[in-house]
Amino acid sequence: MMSCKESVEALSSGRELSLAQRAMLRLHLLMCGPCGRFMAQLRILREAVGRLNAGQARLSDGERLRLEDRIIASIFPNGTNRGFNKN
Amino acid sequence: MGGLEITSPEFVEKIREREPAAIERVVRSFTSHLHNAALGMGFDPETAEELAQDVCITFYDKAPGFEGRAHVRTFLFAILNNKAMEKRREYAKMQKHDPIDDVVSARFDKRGHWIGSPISPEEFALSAENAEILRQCVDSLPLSQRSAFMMKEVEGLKGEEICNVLEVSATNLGVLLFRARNRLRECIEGKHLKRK
Repeated sequence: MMSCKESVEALSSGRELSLAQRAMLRLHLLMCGPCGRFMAQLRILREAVGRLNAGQARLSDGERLRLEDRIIASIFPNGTNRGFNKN
Repeated sequence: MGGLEITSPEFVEKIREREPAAIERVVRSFTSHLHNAALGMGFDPETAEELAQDVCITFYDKAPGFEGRAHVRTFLFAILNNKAMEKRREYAKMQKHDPIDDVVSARFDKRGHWIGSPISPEEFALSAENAEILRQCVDSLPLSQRSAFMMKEVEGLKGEEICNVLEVSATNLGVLLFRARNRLRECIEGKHLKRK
């Protein structure tokens, strides 16, 4: 029988489990309210951090091109002769 | 030039030879990914641009040694990770002991049963969906834990690729994720309880 502590360890590390261990974990989660809550919290965390990340300041197309140009110019001060993506 | 697969041996060879068009293609394909990843690690936009540029320059320096065994993306992210660690002066990637391990242990009795139950998902979501609280909690993560968590949960990278980027074993990736998830969970639950 898997204990709560072992279930929490398996859920949060995401380490690989044998078939038997996976079955025991599933059984434990079916019967154990607190561990069910723990698992739900991890799902909420994943979704919330995903949303937070999606909302962060990303480069606009113009800023992105400027940054790429700057990087390429710093590597090839004399130009690349045949710029990719440019016509 | 544009027709070659970025993972094809022919393209890898062009990278090794530092063919300008090949290097340029890599820069244009991955700069915004690198920038986003740096933001996800908690760097401000200006520093994120600086990091993206540094990574590309180091990539150019190291290109002759690129063997194509790992995807070029993995190669770039590994450089980014090292630069980020340097910037944060975080040299030890894997601490043998982390205080969060004790915090988690203290949640269970001798037989491994919960001493008190985690708060309900509804209560937990109230805190987690507050952007300010969540940001504070994410910012409290050590960089290696934060990077592992972001790559796994946000970028959706496979475990094997994350291990290559962070240069850790699968077991140690498990330890990093365990600590990241529990540190976030404890932080968010703690802030919820404090607000009551």
